Amino acid sequence: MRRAIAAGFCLLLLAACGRSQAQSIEPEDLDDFARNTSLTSREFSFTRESGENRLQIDGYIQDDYRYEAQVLFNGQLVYEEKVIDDTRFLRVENPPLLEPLRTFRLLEQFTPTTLPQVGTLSGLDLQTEDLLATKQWAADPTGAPAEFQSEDAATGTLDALEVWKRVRFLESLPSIIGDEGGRVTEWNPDNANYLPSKDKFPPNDTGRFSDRFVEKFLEDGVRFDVAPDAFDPTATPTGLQDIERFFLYTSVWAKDGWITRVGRAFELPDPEDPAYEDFYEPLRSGTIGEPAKEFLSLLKQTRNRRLYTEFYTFRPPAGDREVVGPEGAVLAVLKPPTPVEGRPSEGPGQVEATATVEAPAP
Amino acid sequence: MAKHFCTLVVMLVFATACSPGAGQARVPSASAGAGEVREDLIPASMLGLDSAPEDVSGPFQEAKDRAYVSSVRMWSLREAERLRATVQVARFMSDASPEKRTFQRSVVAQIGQTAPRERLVGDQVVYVTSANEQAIFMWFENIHLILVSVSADYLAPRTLLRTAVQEINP
Repeated sequence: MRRAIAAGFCLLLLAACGRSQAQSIEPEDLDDFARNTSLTSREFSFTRESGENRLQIDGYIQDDYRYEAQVLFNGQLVYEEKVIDDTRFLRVENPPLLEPLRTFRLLEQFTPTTLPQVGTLSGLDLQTEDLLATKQWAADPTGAPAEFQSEDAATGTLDALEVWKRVRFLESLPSIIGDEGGRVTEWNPDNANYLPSKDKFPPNDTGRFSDRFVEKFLEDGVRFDVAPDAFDPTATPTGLQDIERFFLYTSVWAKDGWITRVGRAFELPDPEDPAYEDFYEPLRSGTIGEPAKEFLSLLKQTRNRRLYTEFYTFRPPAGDREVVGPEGAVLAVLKPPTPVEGRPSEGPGQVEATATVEAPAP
Repeated sequence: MAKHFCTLVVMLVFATACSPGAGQARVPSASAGAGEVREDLIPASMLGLDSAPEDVSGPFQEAKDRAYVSSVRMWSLREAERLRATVQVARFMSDASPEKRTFQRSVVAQIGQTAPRERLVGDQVVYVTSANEQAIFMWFENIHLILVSVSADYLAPRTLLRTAVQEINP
């Protein structure tokens, strides 16, 4: 009984707080909030959970060309990097974790052939990989990712894209939110149709409302949910994005002109739901193309319909802070050499004269 | 890269000519003589590159009457004889609105071959685009537009950009 009263009180409190914030934040504000946040120094954290594995990237963005981050896999530090203008610094703390991290990233991309087979685990040349195995800092004066870098151009476990994508994520938020009316709604647990079991990001993992939840809710701000496209049974998925389009759910939290948190959940529908028969039938019958078969492999590995959950959080820095290059970094080439089919790289890669060219976007 | 000098100057001037909706702008007080970009705005050397003024009076005269710009100057940045970058500074007339984001976006959208992206460099918002194998960086400071164009084969474009943001103070 006490729990019911407490839950009711918390709901009332939430509703009151939600209403007051709803009066000041609208879905149309989110694009401006994303811009404001992206043009501000900030601390960030990214997590991606899939099955039993978890990738975490914690970092600080001083500005768009100076940032630093630590990459952890299942709670252990794998490597850390700093980008200072044109220079990239890299240090591997835990070389044995590069293999499972590589596998985790392959699953993210669903296309094993994306990573070039240059005979090294990291995608870098053998000499650089030997240097990194000593856990020293390596520095590439032209190693920073290019301005118009394509997110699909992943080249290896230690390429600059893993952190770069998280640094640049807010730039893509307006396109994720979209400009189609009705896709963005304010989260409202008081709505008669609200079911915690259907909530992709339930307020509390245990399903109970507690003081911690209230504090956390108020801390992150007002939440908006972005629905994916309505399922189109006539669509033929040829890649991951075709499937994510229908089943990738996004929620955005905003407060004080900031985007404070973004959650993304890739969750497949109930296989018993007849509305999705056209989605599951090709998977059951095996009449699907190669990219979808790899997707099916991931589905079997994760063993549940929630294929992955991602969170981005953003906070103002605690104080004035600058990204500083580490002392004693060894000069190295931190971009992979051009892969030669069937033959591992035999020597150091060449610094490409156009390595930091701000090339026209494709 | 030299052949693109005049093209960029013309683009810069025409871009400001075509920008809509200046409205009634509140223009900060000028720091130089009426309507002119200061000759000594660029240091003699920037990140080891030697600067030298370039004559752009011809292209500017072509579009002057239709532009929001009262003055334009250009400098080359060279490594020995090799041209690595250029710096252009345009000074807006009083009826322009360089402090407004809509005005800024209308200007930068007409420069470059890719949609300009906003980047934070220090405390400065810089628009980034590219054209003709050059990286183009643009930002607005007071009543000036500063445009730095960097050759594709220069290996430290962002370091140069940060130096320019810090050292160019119109």
